[in-house]
Amino acid sequence: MIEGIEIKNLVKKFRKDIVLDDISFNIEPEKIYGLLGRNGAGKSTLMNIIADRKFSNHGSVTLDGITIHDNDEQLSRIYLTSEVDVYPDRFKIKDMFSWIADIYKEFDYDLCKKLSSEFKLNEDSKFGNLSTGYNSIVKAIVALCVPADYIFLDEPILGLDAKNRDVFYNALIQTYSDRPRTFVISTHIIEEIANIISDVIVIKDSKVLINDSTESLLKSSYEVTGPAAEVDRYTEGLNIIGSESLGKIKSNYIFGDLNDKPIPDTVTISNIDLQKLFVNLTDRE
Amino acid sequence: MHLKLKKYLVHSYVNITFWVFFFFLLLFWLLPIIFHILTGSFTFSDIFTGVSSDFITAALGVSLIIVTLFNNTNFRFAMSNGISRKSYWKTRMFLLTAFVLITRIVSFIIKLIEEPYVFAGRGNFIPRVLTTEFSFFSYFNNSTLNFLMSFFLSLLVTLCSIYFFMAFNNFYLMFTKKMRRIIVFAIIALVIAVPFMIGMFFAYLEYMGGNALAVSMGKFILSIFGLNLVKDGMYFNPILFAFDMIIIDIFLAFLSYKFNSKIQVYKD
Repeated sequence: MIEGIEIKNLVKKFRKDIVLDDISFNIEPEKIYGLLGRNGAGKSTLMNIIADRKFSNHGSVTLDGITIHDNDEQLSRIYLTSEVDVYPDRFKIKDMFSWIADIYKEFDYDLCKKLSSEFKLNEDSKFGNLSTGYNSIVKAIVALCVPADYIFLDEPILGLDAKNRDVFYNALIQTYSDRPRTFVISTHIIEEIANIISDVIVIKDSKVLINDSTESLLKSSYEVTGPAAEVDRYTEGLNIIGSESLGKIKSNYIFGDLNDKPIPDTVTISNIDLQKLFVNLTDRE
Repeated sequence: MHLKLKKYLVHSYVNITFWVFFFFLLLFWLLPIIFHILTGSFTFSDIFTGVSSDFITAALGVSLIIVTLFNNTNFRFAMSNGISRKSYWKTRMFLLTAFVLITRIVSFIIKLIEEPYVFAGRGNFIPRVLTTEFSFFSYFNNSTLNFLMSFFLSLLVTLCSIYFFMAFNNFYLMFTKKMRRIIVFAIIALVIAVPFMIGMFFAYLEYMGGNALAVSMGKFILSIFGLNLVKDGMYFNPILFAFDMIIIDIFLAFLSYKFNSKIQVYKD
């Protein structure tokens, strides 16, 4: 039995468009994942299927070997916060917290109060009257306080200002260290989560392109810079995922192992950051 | 059944019922009094005329329809908090059935207080010219049996309508926002078309077999529901009617379950 969430041969179609094409991977316990992909890659659809809010056309999703679909016990271990508002607009925030705390026996009410105060959230406001930023804040607070083992955050920082994003990341790290559980974060602001996530899942063309640890990915990604001719000569035969030129200076981005050729004096090699790696990987035809 | 969800749904249903009663009071009690005052025709008795037994029964009925039809928010809340579709359906089914039971009990207690004579035993014959509703509550020659039977039938009929709305609502929620609009248009078209279709069906029967065929077909359809037409009226078989209603209730409950298991959370 595989511990964690196992996604097996998942297919999702919207009429003729294939959004997820026979994808299989595992989400392991107590890790923080970054789920990356360009707009329309199928990230939200994938998370909705895992949380049993949407149905797949084919394939299965299991948690610790038991199917998630229509299973109260397994579903209560998964929490998804997405752009879709699932809470009644008429609810006051404090009432909403209270109802959720009523459903989840071990809802962290103290943390909820602490975060509300840190975010300067007015709990007497109605959910439907919140700005985009505060809408995201409320959902993020709930996600951090529910006692689920697998938390899926779809665009959790949508509309949040820099200060509130900082509060959110700090709270995420703090709650993770207090009670390790799995977080799957889907966002387009990769540079901000690069230091938080331990693993990366990249979806491209309806398939899982990469599912590896952040450390291992960054270790095998390089930027080779120097005069164009020498850079091209050195990187010949390597897995070039992208390149940039400025005058006669050229940078080739490599994903994978370097060769044993001697490095020319005019050429420099450095590791690239996650955002650059993602842009180049997903930009490639 | 999910106990925590039950508490949430009960709160939601009580909230809706409160607001329905509030608007009923506003429309059928307060506004008429204001109009009486404005037109100078106010008398002290006007204070008591608005809130009748019909008022309570109607308000409960409207509340029941609203809680059955406006379900999407509660469904989303349940789904987002780790409650399965199956548990949600079971809890909702239990609560709506209990709600129906309460509305029927209230309605029949009022009936028993205000019109106890309707349950008097007069046999199961319903005269052709109906001037009173007595016959609808009179099947046996025993008033207690009549009361129990009419309560049971009323419960089954109300459950039938609620399970129908539940099934319809779940069917509607199976689709995206765009498809839901098309469904609403299709239903409006059907509501207009169905009477014409029935008319056309009987016109066809008349054309094929004359008036006798149309009448015998009508009699046959009614007889399925325990209504046997005779010259001066009709005989009503409450047992057969109850049996039919139980089958329809079970079928509609099954449909609502099936449709419920196919609902997805869409972006609206």
